[in-house]
Amino acid sequence: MTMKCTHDQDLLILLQADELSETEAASVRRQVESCEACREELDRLSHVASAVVPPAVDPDAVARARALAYTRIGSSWRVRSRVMSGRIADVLRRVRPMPELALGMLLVAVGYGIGSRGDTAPPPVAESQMVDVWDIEWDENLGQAVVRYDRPGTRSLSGDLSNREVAYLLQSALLEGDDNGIRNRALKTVQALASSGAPADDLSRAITELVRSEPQEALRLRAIWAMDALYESTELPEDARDALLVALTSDAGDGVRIAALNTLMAHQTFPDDARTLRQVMSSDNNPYVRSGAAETLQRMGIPLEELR
Amino acid sequence: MGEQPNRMGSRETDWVEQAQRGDTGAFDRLVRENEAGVLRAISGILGRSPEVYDVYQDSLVSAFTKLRGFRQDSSFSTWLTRIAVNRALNQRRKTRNAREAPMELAEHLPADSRDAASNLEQSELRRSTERAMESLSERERAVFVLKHTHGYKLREIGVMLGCAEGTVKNYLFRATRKLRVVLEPAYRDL
Ligand SMILES: [Zn+2]
Repeated sequence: MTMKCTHDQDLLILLQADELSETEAASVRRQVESCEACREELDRLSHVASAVVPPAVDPDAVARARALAYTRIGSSWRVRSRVMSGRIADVLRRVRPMPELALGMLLVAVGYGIGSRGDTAPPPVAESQMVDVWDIEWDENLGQAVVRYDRPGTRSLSGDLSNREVAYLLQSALLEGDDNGIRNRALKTVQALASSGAPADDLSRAITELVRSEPQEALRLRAIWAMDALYESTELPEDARDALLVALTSDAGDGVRIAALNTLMAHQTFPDDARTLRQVMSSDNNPYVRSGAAETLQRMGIPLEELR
Repeated sequence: MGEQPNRMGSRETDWVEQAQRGDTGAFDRLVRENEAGVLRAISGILGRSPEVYDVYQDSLVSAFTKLRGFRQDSSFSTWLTRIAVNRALNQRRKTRNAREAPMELAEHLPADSRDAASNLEQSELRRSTERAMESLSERERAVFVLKHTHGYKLREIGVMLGCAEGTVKNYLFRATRKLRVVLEPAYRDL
C-alpha cells in the first residue's frame, strides 16, 4: 500500500522555483519519487520555466541609451563640477575663515539658488571625485573630433561625422549640454568636420533647433555657421530654411540676421521668400541686412524698380 | 549598516558610496556590472520593442537621481532592477498595443521534435505562446520573468513590485498555469 498522493501542483511549482525550505523540498521530492503523475508534472513545469525567454537586446541601442542617460545626468553635473572644482575651490582657499559664506554666495552667483543659506548644503564633494561624463572638441592637429571621457581607464574616442558615435555625441552635446562651453565646442566641431560626411538627420535637426531657440546669441550665430558648412554643397532641408527665415526676420542679434541671410543667399531661394526679403529690406534696422536682402531679391530676378 | 546582503561585497559598497558623492565613474561601473540583468527584466516585460531602450535610459537617470536615498539595504542590482521593472510596468500600461510579442518561445525543444513538427505547427505553437504571454497581466509576466530568468526570490520580487510575498506567489501560480496549458502540445511532442 502506498500513501495516496495529493498531486499538489502549487508545491511542485514552488519546488521548481526553488522556493521551499530544505525540509519541505525534501518531502516534496519524496512524493515525486513515488508518484508517476507528479514526476511528469514537474517535468512539464521545468519545460514551461525554460520555454519563455526575454528577447535579446541590441547592444548598439543599449550603448546609445546608456550614453544618452549619462548625458542627461552629466548635463546637470557638468557645470556644477566645473564651477565647484575650479572657481569655488579657488575662492575657498583664499577665504578660509568663512568658507561656507563664500560658497553660499558663489552658488547664488552662478545660479544654483540656494535660497536661504544653510537650507540645502551643496554636495560635499572632493575635487577628484567630480567627474565629467565626457567632453567633445575639435582637434586641429588630428583633423578630427575628440571625445574625452573624464574617467580613469576610459579611452578617448576620435573620428569625424561618419563615425556614428561621434555624430551621436555631438547631437547630444548640442541638445542636452547645459553648459554653453560644450555646445560651443560641439558647434565648432560640426563646422570643422562638415565636409567629412553627410550630416546625420538627428545632428542636422539639433542644429536647426539651436538656430530656433538657443538663448545665447553667440551660439545661435555658431549654429548658423555650422548649418552653412554642413550644407555647403547640398540643398538646405526645409526645416533649416524655415529656421533661417525666422531668424532673418526676428532674431535680435544683428550678426545672427546677417549670417542667416548669407546662408540663405548661398542656397536656392524660392519665390515665396520674396515677401520675407521685401519685409526685411524695408524694415530691418541694420543697413547691411537691408542691402543684403535687396541684393538677394535682385538675384532672384525681381527688378529693382518693383522693389521701390 | 548591519549586514551586507549584496554578493559583490565591499567593492560594490565602495562604488555606491563614491557614486552617491557624485562620482559618475563609479556609477558607470555599477551600471555596467548590472546591465545585462536589468535589460533582461525590461525586455521580459516589454518584449522586442524600442521602448526597452527608452525605459533603460530613464531608469539610469532616475537611479542616479535617487541614489542618495539608497541605503544599501538590498544589493545595487536589486535596487536598480526594481526601478527598471516599475518603469517598464508603467510604460507597458501606457502603450498596451501589443504589436510585438513580449516573449519568444525559446528554441529549447530538442532537435528531433522540432524536425518532427511541421513548420506550420511550429509557428502555431509560437503564436499561441505569444498569445499566452499576452494574456498574462503585467505583474504576472514580471514575476515570471524575475523568477525564471533572474532567479530572484519571491520575497525580493515582492519588495520590487511593492506587494506581499503571498501575492507574488499567486502571480507565479497563475502565470505558470496559463503558460503550462499553452505549452502542453509542445510537451506532448517530446
Ligand atoms: Zn502525485
